[in-house]
Amino acid sequence: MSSIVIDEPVSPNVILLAERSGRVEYQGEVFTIYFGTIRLAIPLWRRVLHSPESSRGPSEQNISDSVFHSVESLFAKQLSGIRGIERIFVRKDDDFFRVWVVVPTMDLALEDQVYASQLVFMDRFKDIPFDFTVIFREGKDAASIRPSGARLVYPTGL
Amino acid sequence: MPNCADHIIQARHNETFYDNIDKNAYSDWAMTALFYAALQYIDAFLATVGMVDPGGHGVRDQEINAQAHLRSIANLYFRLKNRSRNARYYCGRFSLGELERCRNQDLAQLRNHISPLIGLQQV
Repeated sequence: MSSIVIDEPVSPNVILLAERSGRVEYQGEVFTIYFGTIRLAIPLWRRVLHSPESSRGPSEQNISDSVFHSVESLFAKQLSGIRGIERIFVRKDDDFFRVWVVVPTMDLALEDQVYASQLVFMDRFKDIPFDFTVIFREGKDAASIRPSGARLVYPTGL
Repeated sequence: MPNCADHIIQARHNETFYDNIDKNAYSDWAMTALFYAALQYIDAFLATVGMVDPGGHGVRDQEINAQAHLRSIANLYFRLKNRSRNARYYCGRFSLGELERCRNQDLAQLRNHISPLIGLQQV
C-alpha cells in the first residue's frame, strides 16, 4: 500500500487499514468505499495459548470483497430495473469492475438504456474503472453464457 | 505515439477495409473494422485534448463519459464496441442490414460529430 490510514474498527477485534476511501451518494444513500485490508487484532492472551488459530498470529483479510458486494448490489438494483435484461454478471479484477449484461437480441432501445445506466455508474464512481459488455444471446442457451469467474447478480437464486 | 492525423488515417484505413471485405462471409470482422474505425475517431479527438494514448478500453470509456463533446455520442460508440466484442468473444454474426445500419448510422453519426471538432470536413 502506498499510504495507510487506520480507520475506525468495523467490528470487535478488527482494525481497518484503508489505503483510500471515499463517500459516494447514490439514490439518497451514502456509501463509504474502502480499499485496503482488515487486520484481525488478536489479544495477547489468546496468542500465547498456542491454539492452531492463535499460533498464526494476527491475520489480514482483503476487504475488497465487501466493496465488491456493495457495488455489485448497486449494479443489480439499477440494471435489473431495465425490462428485457436477462442476466447480469459482475467480476472484480483488482480494483477493476467488469460487468456483463445479457440481453436476448440486438435491441437498440434496450441497449441505449443499458448505456445510459453505464454512464450514470461512471459518474457516480469516478475512481472505479468499469468495463461493461452487453452480450446478445441470439438464441443461445442462457445457461451457456457465464463469463469465467463472474458472479451472477441478477436474477438471484439460479 | 500516434497524433490526431495518424488516428484519422487509421480510421479511414479501417473503413476501407470494411468496404473491401466479403461482408457475408466475414460479418464478424466487418463489424470489428467498423468499431475500430470509431475507436480511431475517438482517439483522434482525445489527441486534440492532450490524451495521446488512453491505454485501454476502460480509460477510453471514462474519457468518453467525461468529455462533454463525446458523451452525447457514447451510445453510438458503445453499440459498435459491444457488437465487435460479441463478434470476437461470443462468435456473433451480423446481417448485411445490421452492418450497413452500423456503418451508415452509428459510425457515420459518430464521425460527423467528431469531424468538426478535429478540423475535418464532414463526409
